[in-house]
Parts: sequence; C-alpha cells; structure tokens
Amino acid sequence: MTETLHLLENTPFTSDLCLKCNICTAHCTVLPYTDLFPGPKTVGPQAQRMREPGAPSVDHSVDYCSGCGICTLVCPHGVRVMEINTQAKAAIVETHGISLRNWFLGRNELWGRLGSPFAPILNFVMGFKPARRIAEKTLGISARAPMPKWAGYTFRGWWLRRQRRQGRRDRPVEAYDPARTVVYFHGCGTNSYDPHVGRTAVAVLEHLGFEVIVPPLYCCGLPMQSNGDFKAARRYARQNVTWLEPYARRGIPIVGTSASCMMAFKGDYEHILGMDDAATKTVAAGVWDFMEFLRHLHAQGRLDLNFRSLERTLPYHAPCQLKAHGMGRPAMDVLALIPGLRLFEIDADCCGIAGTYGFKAEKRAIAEQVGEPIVEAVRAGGYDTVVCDTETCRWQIAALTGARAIHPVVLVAEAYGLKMAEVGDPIIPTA
Amino acid sequence: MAELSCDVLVIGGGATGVCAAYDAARRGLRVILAEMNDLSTGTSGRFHGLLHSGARYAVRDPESARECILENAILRRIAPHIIEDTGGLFVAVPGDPADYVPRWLEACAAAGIAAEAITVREARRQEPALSPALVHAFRVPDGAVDGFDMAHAFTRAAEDYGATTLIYHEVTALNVGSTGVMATLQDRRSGEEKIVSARWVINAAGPWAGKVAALAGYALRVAWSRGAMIAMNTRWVNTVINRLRPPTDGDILVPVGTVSVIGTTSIPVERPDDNTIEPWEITALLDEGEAIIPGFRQARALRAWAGVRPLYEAEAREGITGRAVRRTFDVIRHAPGLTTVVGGKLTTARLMAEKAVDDVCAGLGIEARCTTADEPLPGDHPRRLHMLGSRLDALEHGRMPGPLICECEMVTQAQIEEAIAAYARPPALDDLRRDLRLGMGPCQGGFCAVRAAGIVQRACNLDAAAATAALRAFVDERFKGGRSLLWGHHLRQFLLDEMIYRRTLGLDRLTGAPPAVRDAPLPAWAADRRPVSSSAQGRRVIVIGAGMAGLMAALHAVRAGAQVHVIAAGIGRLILAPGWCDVGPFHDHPGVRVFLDWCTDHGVRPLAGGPAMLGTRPAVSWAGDGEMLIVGFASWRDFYPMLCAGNLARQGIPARGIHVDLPRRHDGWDLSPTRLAHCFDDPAFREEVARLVKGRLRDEARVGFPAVLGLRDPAVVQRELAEQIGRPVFEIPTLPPSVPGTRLLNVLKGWLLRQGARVQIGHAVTRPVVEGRRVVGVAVASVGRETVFHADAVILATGGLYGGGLLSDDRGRLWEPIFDLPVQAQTDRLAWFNTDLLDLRGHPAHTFGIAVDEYLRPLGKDGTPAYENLFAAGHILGGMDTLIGGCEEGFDLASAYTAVREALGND
Repeated sequence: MTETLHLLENTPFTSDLCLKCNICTAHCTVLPYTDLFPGPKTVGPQAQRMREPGAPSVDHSVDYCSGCGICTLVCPHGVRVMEINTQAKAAIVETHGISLRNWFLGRNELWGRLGSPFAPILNFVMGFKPARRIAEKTLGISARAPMPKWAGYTFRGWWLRRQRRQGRRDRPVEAYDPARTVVYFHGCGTNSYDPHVGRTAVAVLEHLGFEVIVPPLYCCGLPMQSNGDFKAARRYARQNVTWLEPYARRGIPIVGTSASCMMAFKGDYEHILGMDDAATKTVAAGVWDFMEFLRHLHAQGRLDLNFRSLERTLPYHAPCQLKAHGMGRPAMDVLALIPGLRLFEIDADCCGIAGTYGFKAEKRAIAEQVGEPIVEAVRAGGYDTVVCDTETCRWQIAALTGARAIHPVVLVAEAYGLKMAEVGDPIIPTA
Repeated sequence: MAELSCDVLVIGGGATGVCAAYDAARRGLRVILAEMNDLSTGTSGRFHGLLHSGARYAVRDPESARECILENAILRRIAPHIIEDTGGLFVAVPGDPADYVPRWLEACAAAGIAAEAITVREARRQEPALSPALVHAFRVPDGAVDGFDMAHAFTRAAEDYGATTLIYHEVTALNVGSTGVMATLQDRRSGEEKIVSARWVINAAGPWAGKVAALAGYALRVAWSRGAMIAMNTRWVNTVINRLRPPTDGDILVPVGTVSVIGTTSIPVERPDDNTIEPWEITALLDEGEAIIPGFRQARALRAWAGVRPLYEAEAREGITGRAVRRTFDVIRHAPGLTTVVGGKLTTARLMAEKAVDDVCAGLGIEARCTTADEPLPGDHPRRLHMLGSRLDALEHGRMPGPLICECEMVTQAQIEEAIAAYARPPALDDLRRDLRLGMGPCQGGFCAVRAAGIVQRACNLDAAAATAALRAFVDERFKGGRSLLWGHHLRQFLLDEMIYRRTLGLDRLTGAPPAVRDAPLPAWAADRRPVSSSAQGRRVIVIGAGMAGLMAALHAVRAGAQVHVIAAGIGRLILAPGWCDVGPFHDHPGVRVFLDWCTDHGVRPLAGGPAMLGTRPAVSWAGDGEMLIVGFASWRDFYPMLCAGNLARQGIPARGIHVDLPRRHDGWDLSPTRLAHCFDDPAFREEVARLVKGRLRDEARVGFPAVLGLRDPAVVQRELAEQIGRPVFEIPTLPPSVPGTRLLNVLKGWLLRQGARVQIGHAVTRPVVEGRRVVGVAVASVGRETVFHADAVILATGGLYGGGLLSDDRGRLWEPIFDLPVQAQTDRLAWFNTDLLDLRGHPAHTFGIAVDEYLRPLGKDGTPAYENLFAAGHILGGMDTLIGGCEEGFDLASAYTAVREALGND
C-alpha cells in the first residue's frame, strides 16, 4: 500500500491541501515588483487543479516565479508551492521547448570549464560594457547581471594536481574509515569561479583530521531544473547519485559548501524531479551543508574549539535555498563559537538572484528590487563584508552592495589560523 | 395576469424536460417549458456526472444497458461539448466475486457494449492512483457529463426552435379536459400568476411527477430513492472507475472537471426533496474509495450532496425496491392531454423525451418523427475550458481580460456580468454558481462570494440590504454541502471562510439579530497580572508557532533577555486577520498594553475601529461626525464601496461610495492587496489617487479606503493622502492577505532578527526531546534528516484546528501532534458545528483545545502538567470562543505574555 500512499505525498497532489489563504502570495518576493506575476498560489496549487494531462492549460506567467521557495516555507498547510511551480515550468519546456538563453544559463558547468583556460580574456570581455549590452540584446542576459569572474584554474584541476603531488590516489570505498573520511562536493560555481572556497573547505576538514575525497562529480543540475529543463537535470542528477551512492551507503558524509547544491540533493531530486528511488534517498540522507556538518561535529564533541579571536561584527544573509533545508542557521551557530565574532541575520527573504533568475534581462529590475533590503542593511551599517552560504547570492550581494561576500568557512579557517600559504591565496584580502 | 398558449407544456426543467422541449420544438410544436426552480436543480442537478456505457446494468438489466450504450453514442454525436471523453474502467479488487466477471463480459457483448480487457499494469499506468492489488481491469466507453451544461445546451437549442423557458415557475393548477389543458403557473419570485393553455402536457417532473399528475387528478405512484455523493477536491483519476461486481453502494468514481465524485448509496425516503446525508454514508463512500485507491480517505473531500431518484412504483408494488428496480423508463398516458415520462437515467434522457413526444404527436394526430439524434445541437457552443496558457501573453501585450472573481474555478467579472444580463430579474448567487461554477472550488465561496455579491449589486442596482441578503443566502447554501465533511483541511477551509465572513466582512451581524451581549468570563490564568521578568539572560526559549501568540511570546522573551528561537511549519493567521486588535475582556491585560505600545513605537498600529468590509458597525461605536466617503478602485475585485456605504447608511451612519480608476491602469486578472499596497508606497501613485478622490469629494468629513495604503510606510502614505485630500483617511479591511497583518508581521519579524532571535519558518517540530519531566529540546523535520534544537523552556503556540496545532480526521478523532496532549473536545463529529455557519452563538469547535493549569502548562492525561517547562499560548488553548467573544487578538496577546512570564519566572 505504500506505493499509492506515496502518490498523495507527491508534489502536484499537495495542491489538495491549499486553502487559498494567500499567505504565500503575501510573502512572494517577486510579486510586489511586477504586474506580470499573479502570485505563487495562482500559478501553483490553483492552476494545478486545471492541469489535465494532454490539455494546454499550464499558466505561462509562472515564468516570472523566481523559484526562491519562500512560498513553500510560509505555507502552514503543507502545499509545496514552489515545487509545483517549478514542475509547471518543466511542463512548458516539454511542450514548447527551452529558449536558447535559458539553455545557456542552465549549462553553468559547461561554460565554467570551457572558459577557464581563457579566463583573462573572458573576464575582460565580461567586464566590458558594450559587450554586455550586446549579450543583453542577443542572448537576453542582463548587462547588469553579476557575472562571476573565472578564477583561471578549476578546483578539480587544483585538487588533482595536489593529489599527484602528495602521491595520493583514490581507494575503493570500503577502504575508507567512515568516521574519519568526508566526501567534498564542490559544485560548478566553486569549481570555475570560487575555487578558493573549496580549497578553504578542504583545509578546514583536514585540520579537523578528516581525509577528503573528491570523486567524479557533475553539476548538481539545479540551474537546468530551475529553467524547466528536467530531462537534462535528471541526467546530471542520476549520474551524481550513481557516483555518490556508494559513499552514502558506507556512511561517509558528503559535504558541500554550496547550500543550494546540497538542497538539490536533499530535497529537489525527489520533490521536484520526481526521483524517488532508493539510491536517491540514500544520497539525500547522506549529504550535509558544510556548516551544518561542523555544527553536527560540535554536537558530538568533535569540533576543534581552539579558535583565535576575531573581533568583528558582520551581517549574514541566509539564502532562500539554505532556509529550505529547515536546519536553522548552522553558520551562525558555528561562528558563534569564535570569540569576538558577532553575526546578525539581515532581514531579507531573498537576495533576488534566485539562481539564474536575476541574470535574465527581463527580470533584472525585479531581482534588484528584491535584494534592496540587503543593500539598505549593508549601507546603514557601513559594512564591507557580508557572509553568505551560496555562490550566486554572493555574486549578487557583492554587485549590489560593493561589499565583499564570503562563505562562512573562510572565517572558520581564519579563526583556526590556517594560512593560505597552505592553500594558496590570502583568505581574506586585506581591505 | 398573463395568458400564454402553446401546443406542448413541458413541466420539469431537468434532463428529460429540456430534451422533451427541444424534441417537440424541432417537430414544429410550440413549446413552453416550466420549471419550479432553476434548470437542473432536481435529480439532474444532483447526479453523479456519469455518461453510462451501460456496462453497470448489463447483467441485471440488459434492456437498460442497451439503451445506455445507444444513447451514449448519440449524445456524443449531438452534444460533444457537454461531454468529457474520459473513457471508463471496470476494476476488481481481491474479495470481489470472481464469478461475476464472465457473466458480465457475456452480458456486455450481448448488449453491444465494448469491454476491452487490459492488464493491471496498463490500468495503473493509465491511472497511477489505482491500487496495486487490482485483480482485473476492462475498458468501457463511459464519459462524464455536466448536468448544468446539458440543461443550458438543450434549452438554448429549444429556444432556437421557438420554445419558451419559464424558470422559477411552479404549476399550481392543472386541468386536463376534452378541449385541451389549462395550467396555472406561479412565478415564485414575484408571486405573479400566468395562465397557460396547451394541447398537451408532458409531465417530466421527476420526483415530483406524482404531485403534478395529482394536480390533474390522476394517480401516479412514484417512489423515492436517495443517494449520496462526495466530490473529492482533486481530480484523482482521469477515467471513470467502476467496481466490477454486482451493483451496490460506492461503486463509481467519476472525474468531473476539476474534481472527482465518488458515489453512491440507495436509501428509500419519504419525500422528493429529501437531500440529507447521514454520517454512515460518508464513511461508507470513503471506504469504497479506499478499496480502489489506497490512501483515498486522506484526500480532501470537497462537497457532499444527495439526489433523489424517482422510481415508478409499478414495480415497487411487486415488492421490488431500490437497486433491483429496472432502470429503464416508463411513458404513461393518463388521458388525452397528459403524458408522464418517469424513471430512466440522465444518459437516456433524449430517448425518454423521444418516446414521450412520440406519444404526444400520436395523441394530437401529428405525423412528425423525432430528429434530435440526427444532427448536433444548433448554435455556437464554445467549450468552457479553463484556459490559462495565454494569460502571460495577454498581460505582456496589454490585453487585460479584467478581474478574476472566482479564482478557484477561473470565473471572470466579464463572464459574471454576461450571465447576469441573461436573467430577467436579479439572479441569486446560486443561479450564477450553476451557470459558471462560481464558488464550487476548494474555498467554496470564501473569497468569491462577496465579490460576486458586489458585482450583482452594481449590475442590478440592488440596495445594500438585498445584496447582503443574497450573499448570506449563498454562504448558507455552500455550508450545507460542506457540513458533513468538516475534518482535516476542509475543516480548516471553513474556519478560514468563517473568519472572513464574520470578521473581515461582518456578515453575520448584518443578517442576524445579535444575541444579548454577555462578556465572556476571563480564564483563570488571565487574572494574574504580574510582569515578565527582565533578567532572563542566557535562558534559551524555543517558541513553536509563528502566529500572533508565537511571535508575541518571542517578543516578550527577547525583551526579558532570553535567547529565543521561533520554529514554525508556516506563518500564522495574523496575516489573514482584518487588522484590528480585538481584545474583549482582555482589554486591560499587560499583554495587550505592551503590544499596543510596541506597535506605536514601531509604526504599525492596528486598524482603529471603523467599519468591516461590508460596512458593519464595529463593536467599538464610531461616533459619527459627518458623512463618510468610501472609496474603491474600479476593476479591483477585493473591495465594494457601494455595498459598504449602503450598509453603513442603513445602520444610521451617513456614507457614500465611489469608484476611482487606479493610476497606470492596473486592471489585470489578479491584483493582490500586497501588490496594490506596494504601489501606494510610491508618492506619484498616491498623489494621483488623492487627486482623483479630491475631485469627487463633496462635504464628507472623512474618507475610507480599503486597507492597502502602503506596505512599508503606511504612516507616511496615510498622512500624505490625508493632506492632499484635505480630510482624515482611514482603512477598511479587505479580503486576505491582510495588508495590516503583513505590515505587522514584517516589522515584528525584522525586530526579532535585529534583537538576535532566530526565526525559522517552513519545517515542523515533530517531537520533543525529553529528560524526565523536562523538555530539553525539540526535533524538527529538516529535509534529509532530523535536526534537534535545545532549550530551557518551550512555548507551544501552534494554533487550534485552523492552524494545525490540533488535527482531526473523518472518524471524529482530534489530537495534538507534537506532545500528544489530551484534547478537550466532543467526540461526535457532527456536534462540532451548528447547522448555520454564521450562527451568532458560534460553534463548539471554536472552544476545542488543550487544558492547562493556572501557569499555562498543558495538562497530561492524568490531569497534572505534562512537563515542568512546557507552556502553551494562543489558540491551542481550549475553553473560550474568541471569535464570538470578540477577543481574537486579546486572547493571543494575554496568553503569550502569561506563558513567557511563567516560563522565565520559575525554575
């Protein structure tokens, strides 16, 4: 009987629970700033009742849903509003195909890897306003979109060279001690644009006595998923699950510094992409957000508490994709252990970038208005640094505020006194 | 008195009657169709929605089966637009008699019904909801048909051929004589009488056929069999699912538009209008649904109704009753001039009409054969599809289709106005419901009922009293179909609707005489007025719930110096409440005073007095100082100034209502109150509004707007509007989401975060972590794993039956899901609510909740506090009807304050 009970828990059928109360509508981050989006209730559970198989009744205004997921969080009755909306986008793509621009934005990983050897030239072009205006006119990517800079090398490239230098090679899964091993999931953002975050994460994990494994990995598929390209997203997802499942089964934690990627593994694969097989569930139960993992170690008494004092007060932005984990604010919990360091959470539901949404020309103005509370908070306090767990949010926040945006692991590394001499570049660039 | 004449008077506007009117008109006869209510409100308006293949009757009633399959094909040909080609499945589960299958297959073949065997895997691929335990599956050509669409289609076709339709006309006298027929019809709305002289009468009055025949002095024994059906909120299947066994109760599940209907039962009754439903019928139907779709009883049941089948008693006299009676029909000529056609099924209505009109023609000596099967119904028949896809395209290209009124069923203002225009007199909202499906979705009119009333008022120039009465009548009618299904999420739905009707609209007090006011007694815990400690440094407090009580508990704990963590599955009801601070007997409680002071300090004062959305005078008397101007926005669906002003005026408060256009032409489908409020934050926008209002101002003393005056800076917005208009302005609540509630929530949440509290929304607390008699933490259902958070004290503020703090099921079980605390409630589910949703005494369900000691500690099963450091606040607490007692906010504020004081004070 469990098979069919599962059907009632399937995302589209959670629309049965909708009371039309409009709590989701009231919290929608996009709705106040445009007439083109009627709200998550309207395009989500309300339209869902009209979606018959084979009938062209999917509401195209769902294109303006950013996928931030605040609607699902605030719904008190159990409707998975954002997930329904994302599936609706996929239904549109299935019927009408995907635009070149959205396909392009979904292939983050590809451009990251391809562009890496040409970083200096590409970074120059990306910073060149006329080129950006051409990109906006031809591709629909906003000239104001916070395009990240290629780092000039990839995290994987660095890792593999380091492994070779240190004479290490990957062993069979059974050979690792689960209590002293961690799989690190880097994601395409860290790989091509923010490899220093990955290097810092590795440094912290090794400082804590773990052996780190970096297996073959694809993009988590989130950029494709959020643009409705489910076929591609599932392909990437299934391959990742195949690679990671043996580690998860062995009890080796899979830890990632991108809260959005880890949310894809923990929840989106099942609730949005509809992957409900045992392997996906095993991986979902075995992945951790990086700071969540450190908090877990602390609860077990395994976190090194020899922190140097960092006398700073810093604003923290909880990305919408971190809120979706439902694990609280592990970054704030862990950083509270560092003497002198005080973090406060900015009162903002979403920074506006919402994955690839804020890169799109027709959505850029909305994205900037959505992120306005963060700009105000940073300006009001005169802060030069903002702490945030996901990469696209960091790019958006840096672009909107002019402040530096750093992953919380950077502060952990600094408090441990880890020198970037061990890892490369300065962790916190001097002001 | 009007005198009309015709050849054939058809009595009864159900399926048979409308088909007979069409058939007779096509044969060149002058036809009048008289129906005592609206079309299709008898059996035809209360049936299952099934276009039978006939397979159900193949074994026991082969004649009926043959009729069905033939008529099935004909209806698909002549009226495809009223039929959904769903196809059908006959399925058997373990326990169904195996020997029935071969007999059934043989009988289907004999009747000419195609029954194609498919594998269970194929059946479940087609319908994933079906049980994996299925034993057999066969495809048959069932379909789904909308009874109201059918009535309208055939009536319009009949009118095309010259027929006249008289709805709400009851036959009060019928004289069949040698010179013809004389009938007296009474218009039930106006009382006017009409005399109709006809050559022949077709009595197609269904359950009332005996009554009509008796008017003419002829005996016709009609027996009545009542059957219940439940519409489930979701279209769980796209195919008609039949149970493959000898016909009995609950055999069929039919997808009809956006719902799926499970039915039915068969109970002999004494009256043709017996539409009651007994609780065992609901249980029986859900059980049958569960057998073919495991998990079915957890799905949301939307509406239950009963229909009465008329059974011609010739058979009843032989001792055959109920389901055993033949389902074919009878045509009885009582005398020249009167023919009755009775029995049968909606699927065979056309054939029944054909035989009846054949008899009439034979009697009149007219040689005219039936041609209704020969060609499709004349006229234009656009399918009433729910068309969504092109909306963005329309919006992006500036083609605004106008406001969407019934959001659940996609009914626009333009459609409603068009439907109203087709009526000679102002229609009831229920008439519009049958025409358009208004109010038939999940919210059952909670949002669209008042919108439709406002539109009817304008279109028909009704006075406010009439429009308000029409609204009340519709609300009562909607509740009738929901009352037997009040558990789980549907109970939450009606509690939300009730809150909207009573608080936001003020409907109950406008349409009912309020009972003598009695101040509800204060609960024992409210007597203690000691302050909250201010030295709780380092104490960790977890608040479960983010409604008014939870967030205010967090505020008090923060101010006391505690480390506070709010964990909630979602946001609470404060964002839906009208925006007043109703305190009742808690008016001088410190919890209320601290709240109001904090609000003033942070620029989010509650709405002060003023009328409700319908103009109901609030409990706090608003001493008038001159007339009020009530402003609404043309094409904004959430506020009706004429309705508000009209009701104010008839309560003795002079008021005038006007519409102004919104700047920038905001007339899209779905303009949310929060979007509109955000527009008011723009100075240019509000300046334009002020200019438009000032231009229409006469000598009114103050100006009332819907409560959308600014989201971020309401104080600035309202001050500037008042300056520019030159009069004080005030806000009147509108439909949820509540902008005043949103303002409060935003400021409160921001304040909590700035003070260092944690606010975590979206994932539920599933269980406590306990050591002895102390709660040391709570576990949250994070994604992928459980996360435990630790605390020194826990405050449970999860709400009541609406908020999910208390859960309920169809068996009448009530429970508190986190701590498993005993719930004080009634066990008989039907006793949870009174008959009338807006009963001014309230409902027993309002008082359900957990019991606490005088320190607000929940009591366990033994009557002592369950835990030393667990406290409760808000609507999880039972005992007081805060809605009727006028203290919705006061109760939350006072209990939150008390709970925090006790949580931090002791230990």
